[in-house]
Amino acid sequence: MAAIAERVGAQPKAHAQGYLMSWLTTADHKRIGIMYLLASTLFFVVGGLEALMIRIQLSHPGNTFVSPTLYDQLFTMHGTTMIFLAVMPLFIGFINCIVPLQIGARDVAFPRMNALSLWLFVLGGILLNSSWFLGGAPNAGWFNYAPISLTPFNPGPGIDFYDIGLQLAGIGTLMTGINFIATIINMRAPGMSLMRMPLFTWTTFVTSVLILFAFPPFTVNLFLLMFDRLMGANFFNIAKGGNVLLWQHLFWIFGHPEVYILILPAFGIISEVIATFSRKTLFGYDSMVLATIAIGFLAFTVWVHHMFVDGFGPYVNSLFAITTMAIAVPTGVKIFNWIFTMWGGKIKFTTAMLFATGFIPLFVIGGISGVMLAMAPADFQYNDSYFVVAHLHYVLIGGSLMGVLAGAYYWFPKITGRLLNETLGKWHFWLLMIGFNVTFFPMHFLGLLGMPRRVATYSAALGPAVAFWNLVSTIGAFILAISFLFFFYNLFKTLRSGERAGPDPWDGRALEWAISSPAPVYNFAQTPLIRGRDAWWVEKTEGDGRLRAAEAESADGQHHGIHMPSGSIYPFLIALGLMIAGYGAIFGLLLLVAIGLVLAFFSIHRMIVAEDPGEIVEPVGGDGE
Amino acid sequence: MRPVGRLLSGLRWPALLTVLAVALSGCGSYFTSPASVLAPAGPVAARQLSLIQISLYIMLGIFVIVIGLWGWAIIRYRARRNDTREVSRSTGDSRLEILWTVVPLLIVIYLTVLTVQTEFYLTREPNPATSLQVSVTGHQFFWQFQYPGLGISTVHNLYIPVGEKVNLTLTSADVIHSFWVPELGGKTDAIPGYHTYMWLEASRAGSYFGECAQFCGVGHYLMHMTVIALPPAQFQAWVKSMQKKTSSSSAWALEGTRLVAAR
Repeated sequence: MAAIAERVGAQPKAHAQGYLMSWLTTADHKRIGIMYLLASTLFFVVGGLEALMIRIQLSHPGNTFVSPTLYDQLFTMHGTTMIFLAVMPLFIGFINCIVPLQIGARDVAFPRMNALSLWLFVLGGILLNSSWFLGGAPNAGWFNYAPISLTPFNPGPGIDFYDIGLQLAGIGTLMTGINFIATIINMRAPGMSLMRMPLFTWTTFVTSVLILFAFPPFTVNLFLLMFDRLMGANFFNIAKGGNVLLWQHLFWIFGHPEVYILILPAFGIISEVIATFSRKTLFGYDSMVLATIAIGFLAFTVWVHHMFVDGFGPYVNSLFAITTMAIAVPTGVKIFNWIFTMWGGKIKFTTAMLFATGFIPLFVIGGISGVMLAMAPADFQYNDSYFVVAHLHYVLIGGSLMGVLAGAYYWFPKITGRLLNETLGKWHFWLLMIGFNVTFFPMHFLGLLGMPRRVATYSAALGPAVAFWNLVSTIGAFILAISFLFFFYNLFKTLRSGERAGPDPWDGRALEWAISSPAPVYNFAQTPLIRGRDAWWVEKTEGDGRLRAAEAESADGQHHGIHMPSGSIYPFLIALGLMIAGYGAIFGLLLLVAIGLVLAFFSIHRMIVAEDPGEIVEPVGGDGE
Repeated sequence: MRPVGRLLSGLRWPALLTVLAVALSGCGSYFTSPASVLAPAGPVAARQLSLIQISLYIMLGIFVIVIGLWGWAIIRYRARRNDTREVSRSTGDSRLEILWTVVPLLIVIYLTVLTVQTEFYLTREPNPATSLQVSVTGHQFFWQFQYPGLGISTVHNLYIPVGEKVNLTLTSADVIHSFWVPELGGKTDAIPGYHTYMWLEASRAGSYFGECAQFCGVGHYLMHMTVIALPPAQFQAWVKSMQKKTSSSSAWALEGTRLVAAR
């Protein structure tokens, strides 16, 4: 111990490193969170541009703006990017930035594994997107059904990029899930019992459990496909005894929980924002927690509703229709609790609150169409039509993305120290509301008028109504895109010259508002004592407006520095090695596979055995001042 | 309320109703297509549409209630200038919470009953002795129809008799396709290595737009078909003429058979 103590007395390494190197090596959950947010915002822009090209192509019947070959790549990459590389990592960004603060922790349980998660996601995403320049992007949909994803129907490397890219990003996500389960179970400050945790921390916990159980079947699926495509195995090849529905089952056993991985963190954010700006504690906290857990369980019992038209017969379809509809009950509980949190409050409509309140009607529409889709015999008509496209965007944009944006306006000051401009924010909100509904509401009609999904174009024979609603939808998509120009300009402007936020700009309730903005590297100068739900609000209203330390200063009266994990380049090198091996596998270059794996395993070895003294940081001032 | 009341009495109702009527009459054309779920032409699609309608009306009712509460909350409880109200200290209300758990549960149970009834009705196999059997095979990118009892095979056009249940057994020669004729009924996937099953019936003569609904490759958007429902007598005549053509073994027929077999 003495040797370690001597070493940690040395200068923190981060100061000695260059700026770029300090980001590549960081294990600080806040910096990792920022990089998650940055990278996924870039992927979001890419996915958005793909969506605009799709809408231009569909603006009128028989359009030739893009070829069918390119169109198939566009819709595949749009879905894959938005789900795996944009919305999910945006939430992981907020989770990284905020959850350790909400539970009064120094960092996550495994800081370097956290860095590895980040780099696997970033490099996996880059690998997947590099397919555009290296032989063509994947073109079998984000669901990538066998057998159209198999070599005989899809010889190009696109599907291999999908397979390897998502393996990399998926391992990263899986480790994030493990990390936050461990963090939330083990690292809560004294007094933070489970039933005092903020709702965002609760939804993060349930989301992490979903990740833990949902990603392995998907990883298995990706490996089976890789064996089939790259090594001549026959898991999905019916000519050799394989089975094409195996992919569908494993995919949706993952894919449906994935939907809840994309919405539960939004539920958490909405709960935080609505309570804060209604100036009330969350209504029905216990039932909110129970509903979150119930949704988490039910998420694993409904996957066949994606496969109602596979002909499994009335017993299977009925069973999965019932479990699917059951999810409406806990979800409804949440909606009512949010409304009654506002009830009797003093609601302040900041931009964050606008997004949180706007979330409710949009998500209710998505939920309603969800119940309708759950009715298997009716789904025979909706399935694979634009009705489903409408539904899923009401849930993913009206639900998840509205949650992301509410979180962005709410936590931006905590993350950067500056307040986003409210006027630009309100432009963003209203244009988004108009653009979103104009884009996606007509898609309900398009589905009922017989337009299937994933068609590169449609015939004028489908009639003027189909052409009309498609044009309306395309116009809406551009309004939606313009709304985001306001957002990006706002980000840019605020980072340059935004108003300083101060520690607690919203008169917040959870612990993250008790410390300066941005949070210091060590988060809390002293581990706080939690004295109630809405921990910070309790101190402001019933205490003296300061956090209490969980332990008194040490007996000798001396103040000790804070021991922090030191950074490491190895997480980045592990991810880089696996990425190199991935390119090798895609192009059949065994030497490259070997180089990549050697780099990865060398780095894993170094990361495990190298002595990590950590760093001692001196806190500046106390908390809650 | 008073301004609203004044607005209501001040509106020129006859003029407004005229505008509304014109809009509604024009409305029809925005909700029609040759492949509309909303215009069923047989018992399967009709049953599905009624399920869609019942659930839609119930859901609209829920939407109105939820959005009413939501709207009331955000208007009534927004912070105003010089707002001296005390913020409610309520943290929950178990009676309310039980209410909004139990009522949705009852609604869901009702919808479940309808769902299961319809599901079993649609999947109950009609008597094979009295119904026409057709084997449907999806190919990239066309549909092939074989009438095993009649020795007929067609591509692209499915001929069926009006008022008779038609048993379809589906499979695929390559990737997964999905058979969809919206006006006659919902989809069933055609899956390689599997035989899936559905039945359809056309209540009136006509041709119905059909398509592949499952993404099946670069030509997916072109994979259309037409279901042609003929009165029974005409259908029998078509069967006879087809059997004659098939037995004549013309060069065209042989070439067609060879091409299909080569897929």
